[in-house]
Amino acid sequence: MIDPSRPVLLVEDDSNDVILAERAFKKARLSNPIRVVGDGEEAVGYLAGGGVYTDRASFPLPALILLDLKLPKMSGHEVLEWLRAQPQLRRLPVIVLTSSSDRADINEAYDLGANSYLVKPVEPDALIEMIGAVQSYWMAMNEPPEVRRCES
Amino acid sequence: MAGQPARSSRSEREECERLASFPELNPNPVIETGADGAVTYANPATRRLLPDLDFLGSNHPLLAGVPDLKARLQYGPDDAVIEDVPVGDRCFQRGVSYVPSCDRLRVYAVDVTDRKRAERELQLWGHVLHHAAWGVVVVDPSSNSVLAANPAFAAMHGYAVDEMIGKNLADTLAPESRGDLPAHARLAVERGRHVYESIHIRKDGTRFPALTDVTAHTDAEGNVLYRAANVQDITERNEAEESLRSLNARYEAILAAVPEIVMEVDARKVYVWANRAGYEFFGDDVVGKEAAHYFEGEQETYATVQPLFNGGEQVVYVESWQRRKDGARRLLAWWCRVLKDADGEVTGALSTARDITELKRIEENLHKSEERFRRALENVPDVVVLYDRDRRIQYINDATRQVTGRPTSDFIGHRDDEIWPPEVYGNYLPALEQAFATKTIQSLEATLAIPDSGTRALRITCVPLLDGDGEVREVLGVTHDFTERKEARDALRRRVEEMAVLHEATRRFLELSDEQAILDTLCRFVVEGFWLKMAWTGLIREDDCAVHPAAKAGFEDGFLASVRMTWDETPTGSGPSGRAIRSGTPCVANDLRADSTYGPWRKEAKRRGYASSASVPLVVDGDVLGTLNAYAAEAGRFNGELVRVIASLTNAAAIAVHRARLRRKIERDAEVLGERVAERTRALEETNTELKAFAYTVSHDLRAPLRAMEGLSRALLEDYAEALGETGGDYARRIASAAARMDDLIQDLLEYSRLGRAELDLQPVSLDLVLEDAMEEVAALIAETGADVNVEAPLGEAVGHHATLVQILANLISNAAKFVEPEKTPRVRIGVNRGEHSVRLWVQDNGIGIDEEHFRKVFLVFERLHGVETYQGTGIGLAIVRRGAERMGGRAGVESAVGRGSRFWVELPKVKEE
Repeated sequence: MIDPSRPVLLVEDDSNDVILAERAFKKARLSNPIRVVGDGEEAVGYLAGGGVYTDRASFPLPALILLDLKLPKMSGHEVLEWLRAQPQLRRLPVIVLTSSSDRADINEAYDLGANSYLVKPVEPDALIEMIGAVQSYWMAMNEPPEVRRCES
Repeated sequence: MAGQPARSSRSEREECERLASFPELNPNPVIETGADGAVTYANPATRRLLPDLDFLGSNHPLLAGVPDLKARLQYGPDDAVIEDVPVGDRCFQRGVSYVPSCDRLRVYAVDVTDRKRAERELQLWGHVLHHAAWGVVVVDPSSNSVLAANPAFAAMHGYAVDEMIGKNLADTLAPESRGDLPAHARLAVERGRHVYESIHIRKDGTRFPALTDVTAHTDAEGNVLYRAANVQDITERNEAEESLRSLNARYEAILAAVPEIVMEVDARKVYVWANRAGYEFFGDDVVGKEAAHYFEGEQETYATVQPLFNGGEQVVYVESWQRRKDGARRLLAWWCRVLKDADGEVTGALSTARDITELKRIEENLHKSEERFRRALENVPDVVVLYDRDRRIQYINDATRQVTGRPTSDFIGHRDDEIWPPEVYGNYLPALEQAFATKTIQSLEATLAIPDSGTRALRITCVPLLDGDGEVREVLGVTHDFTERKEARDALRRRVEEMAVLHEATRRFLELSDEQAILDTLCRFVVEGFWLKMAWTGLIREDDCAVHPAAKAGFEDGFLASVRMTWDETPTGSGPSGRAIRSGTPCVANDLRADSTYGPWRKEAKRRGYASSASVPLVVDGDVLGTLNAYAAEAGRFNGELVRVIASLTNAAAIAVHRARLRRKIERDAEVLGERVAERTRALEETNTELKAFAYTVSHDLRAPLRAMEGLSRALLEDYAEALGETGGDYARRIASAAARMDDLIQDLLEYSRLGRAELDLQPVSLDLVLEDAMEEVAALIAETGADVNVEAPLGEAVGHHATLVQILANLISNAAKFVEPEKTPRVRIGVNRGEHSVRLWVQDNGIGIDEEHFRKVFLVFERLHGVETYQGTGIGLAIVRRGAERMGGRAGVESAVGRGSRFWVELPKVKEE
């Protein structure tokens, strides 16, 4: 059971998808707050707690990351690779949420340590259903790993 | 006598006087001395035997020590002392007694010198006999029992001496010899001495031969006292004699076996021994006859062999006619060796002889036949000479004189190098030497320039003639002139060889694909095939008028570098090669010294010994490529025949060159083409990569806004339905469905393009499993349409790609479920038809059907036969079916009629049974 105060970090550059995702989160009654970053670099910045994200009180470490692959500046794969190389962050559960069903993308994501891979459905109801499933599995059922807080 | 009582009566006195006269008569000395040794009496024998006693008195050696004996005799136990006393070289036994009555000593002496000597000798002989190595035995003549035997006799019979004594002598003899003993004994008595051999037997039963030398000893009356015998074991002697006998027998056997006659004569030349061959030749009575007995006709044989008998020669050879036992007259060849005794005196001769009558006859016949042979040679038209071992000519035939026009004296006793110049004899003298060295016939053909006779084609044969020892005695040289025949034959041979060269060269040209190799081969064949001095090929180019040398063979020696040839109308273009190129036909300069057109090159050609030349153009399809130029050492060499052959060869080469050039061009074109293909491939690969990137972009970037459109319009419908109203709601729904359709379209397009690119791994797949997966994919549609799906199970196997097949089948089933008139329930049947090589998987529907004219069209991308409004679908599904089938090595098709449903099928390769 995940600490309900800890946010879910949504890494998504498409504002439409952000809107639909936030709507789905709301419809699925996900209690955790959502933090959205628009590209790979921002995601790394947030997770590393650097730059504008130094204040961990305002930007607490997420309990789960929803990661798009097709991102500006730094791709989702690169973010994943970086994350898994960070001794203090590498256990963070990462769910790839992308529109690509390309075999190569799926395999590479898992190779780099993704915990799950979800293809964005077109139907808004299907997305709500999917987020609901994420909430019940990853937030409620799944036993999260220990991730050391890096306050400084 | 001592101590006898003295008698004093008269008669006693007379008696005394009578007794006293005894010493007077004693033949031995009787002496009486006083106690001091002085002689008081000596009898007459003393005076006779010892005349110096009177003078020496008591100092006489006979009386030495006598006075000293008185005390011993007077008081001792003995009546007399008897001793041996030496007197001079004699020995006397002396007896001394003492007569107390008168205190006198009486001395009796006997001369025992002879007895002593006999005793010593007996002792010596006894000693000798005792230790003798041979046996000595003394036998009683009447009983034959052994009276005495020495140890050697006992030992040789295996007895001790004691055992021997008393034994019957017969017991020492082997049973077979015992019977002879009385006879031997009798002979010993009759002759006094007898020697004989007999077999003795030892105690252990073994036998040995012995030689017995027995003497019989008789008394004066002739009574045999005893027999004494020396016995010698002669086993070893017998063995030695035996081996000598066998050696002699062996020599006799050998001599008997040799085919030669072997005879021995004594010093008087009388035959004393002959071997078997000797007896067979002369007869059984030859021994004892004088050698001359068998001579036939006048003989100098004795004179010839006499030095042998004089000791002057050791071995003499003589041939002599002798009479054989059958009366035939035969010639014998004798080798006589002198025989000498130990003192070097000639005792005779040992001779071996061989019958050489036949040999002689053959030799004589040989001489006769040689005569005939020589007479025959005289009439032979060939030149015949006979060389002796010094290579000097010892005979020439008449033809030699006639052909050479030289007298006999020019030849006889001369060597060839004294008769002919080196360029003549150098050709055949090695063959003559070979004939001498190898003893085999040597033959050679040569064309020789004979002084005063011109150039002649000759066959020279050297025949070695061997003597009796197989050595070359002489060599017969036969020279046959075939100049006329050779000319005709040469022409024929040349034709044949030319044809062979032509054939071989043409074959080689066909094998060669390299222009340079072809031209090299052409030059080489021309030079080597036709015995020419040199050949070269020159090629012409479009940019100048020079003839460019390209290949050469033979003795070129810088000729091509020193001359320049062209094919224009200048002097350098007016030679044979220039003219040949311009005219396209062969041109000949048959005497370069005289040919006016050959000015520019005459000097260089002459320096290299080129006397004539021919140039033949290399022509293909009327185009002149260049020229072949050939040079001969002789003027006039290039007659029409040779030029024709060279032209044929050159034509073949020209065609080969043309072919090589064509091939080269094709190869170059192929290279260019290959480069272009590679370029295209690279471009294609780039395009492919770009296409892949494009597909990715399409799948993500293009679909993202569509998804947003659809998602947001649906969110609008859900969240703001009231505000939108009925019309607004309809619009929002249309936006959503348009976006959804476009997304389907894009997905199908991507799938279609992916099928075009992917490499499919084809293997046997189960169509039943494929159907299972496909049904899963279309389950939602089936449920929605309420379609009735019927499968003719099992579908079995086919060669294909599972995922692709699933997609195809899903497309076909969904099509079948979709394209049905609205009120009808879709009925879908799925089954398989098996052909010989393929499997046809089909999907039958009860749908709207397709007009035959559209059969092909339905499989094309974006071809839709129906409006979107009536039937769903992107129009790419069947294109995917077709492309998928083709990618799996199969095909797709449809059977249909409007209103009667359709049957779509894909055909796949059958699984090959092992």
